[in-house]
Amino acid sequence: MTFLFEGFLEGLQMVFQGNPAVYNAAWVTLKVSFGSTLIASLIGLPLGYFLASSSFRGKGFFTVLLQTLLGFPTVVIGLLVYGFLSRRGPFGFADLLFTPSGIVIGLVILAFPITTMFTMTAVSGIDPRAREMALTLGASRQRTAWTLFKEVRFGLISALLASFGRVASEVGIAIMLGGNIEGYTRTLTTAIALESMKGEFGFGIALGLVLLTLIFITALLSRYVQKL
Amino acid sequence: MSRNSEDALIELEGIKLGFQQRLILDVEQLQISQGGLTVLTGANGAGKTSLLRVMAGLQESDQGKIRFKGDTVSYGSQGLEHRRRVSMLHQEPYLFSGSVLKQVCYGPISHGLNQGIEEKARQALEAVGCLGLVNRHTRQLSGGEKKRIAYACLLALDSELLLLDEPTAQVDQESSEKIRKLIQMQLDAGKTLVVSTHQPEWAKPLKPRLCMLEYGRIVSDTRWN
Repeated sequence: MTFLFEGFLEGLQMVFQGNPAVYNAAWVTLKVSFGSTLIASLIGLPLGYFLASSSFRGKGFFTVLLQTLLGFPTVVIGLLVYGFLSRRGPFGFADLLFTPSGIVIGLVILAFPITTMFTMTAVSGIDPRAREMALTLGASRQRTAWTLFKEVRFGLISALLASFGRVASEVGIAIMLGGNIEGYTRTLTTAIALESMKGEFGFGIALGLVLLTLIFITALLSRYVQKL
Repeated sequence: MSRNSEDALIELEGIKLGFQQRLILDVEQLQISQGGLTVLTGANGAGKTSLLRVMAGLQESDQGKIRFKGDTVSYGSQGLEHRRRVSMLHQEPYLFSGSVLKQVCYGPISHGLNQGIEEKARQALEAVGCLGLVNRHTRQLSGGEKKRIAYACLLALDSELLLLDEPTAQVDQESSEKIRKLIQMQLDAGKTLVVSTHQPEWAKPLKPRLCMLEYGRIVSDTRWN
């Protein structure tokens, strides 16, 4: 038990003393998590709205496909994207493997089904009269969509938060596509995995504390946005 | 009321609408002239709301044509122009989350107006006797207040055709009387209104044209003097 307590104290000390390795990993985590959540939202929000507000042949199959993607193991995503980005792969020329952009690509594949499904559920749950009210007051399709988004903003913020939480706490993709390069592609989670394997428990705790703080701040911000 | 095609503000021809393999609307012909009140009445499920929704451009019929001032009405993204000329008050209107003022400003903003919106909204709220609710959140309104605010939304738009679905359902006597006075004001201003109601007697003082619906068909069409 003592080692847990000592590790926790050591972790706190590193956080408050501004350990550069901890803060570098936090910065990389922030960059790739925000970047991938943003791109996943740009895909997932309109796609979720479209799926909720339209009917077409194959919609059920497409929905099942997205639900399957929700449970896709991250190492499999990492492996597939690795294949595409490696030198022998079709996108090898882009030199994206072991770069933050490479991690972002993998994380977007992980996050967009979450954003899409959350958006679809939120928009499907809107009172159908809301859409009719917007339309009868002369709103264009785009303005109607924006109005409905505002009506379900709690659900949409939950979608973004769930996506952010998922990508910020992910390990498999970050290791396979980032390569865990210190100061460049090492994220908080890959650093925790590495340091704990080396027996640096305190360092792992410090990284874990920063990660939890980041997610906590995001949740606080989203709460503030919901009240606007 | 003239029934000549040239005078018609809106004309429906051969409208058929089905739902779950049942014909819920079967209107051979209906012409509504500019100015005046038309009351649609009939039992539950007679097709009153469906007819209003089709006229409002919110529901596309399976067959038939609708012309507004001679132009064929389109639906979906093509129907925006029609939806900006016709407004509908739903039986249980939905108000967006936010203040009453924001709600009433929504229509004029959607119509692309960029000046005098707030003033227009305040005038509309005053007309329905709800100016005192201007800063109230829409979730804090009673059923009757919601209906009057939704009516204010229509007034702020200055639409050519107003469609009111059961405007007096679930409102008290006082609100019902206020709504009738508002309709009278609109008629005096030369507006065209189509109102669905279970209680046609309520509209009798307004001397409307009365269309009775049964199983989606117009079975009688008379002027009520």
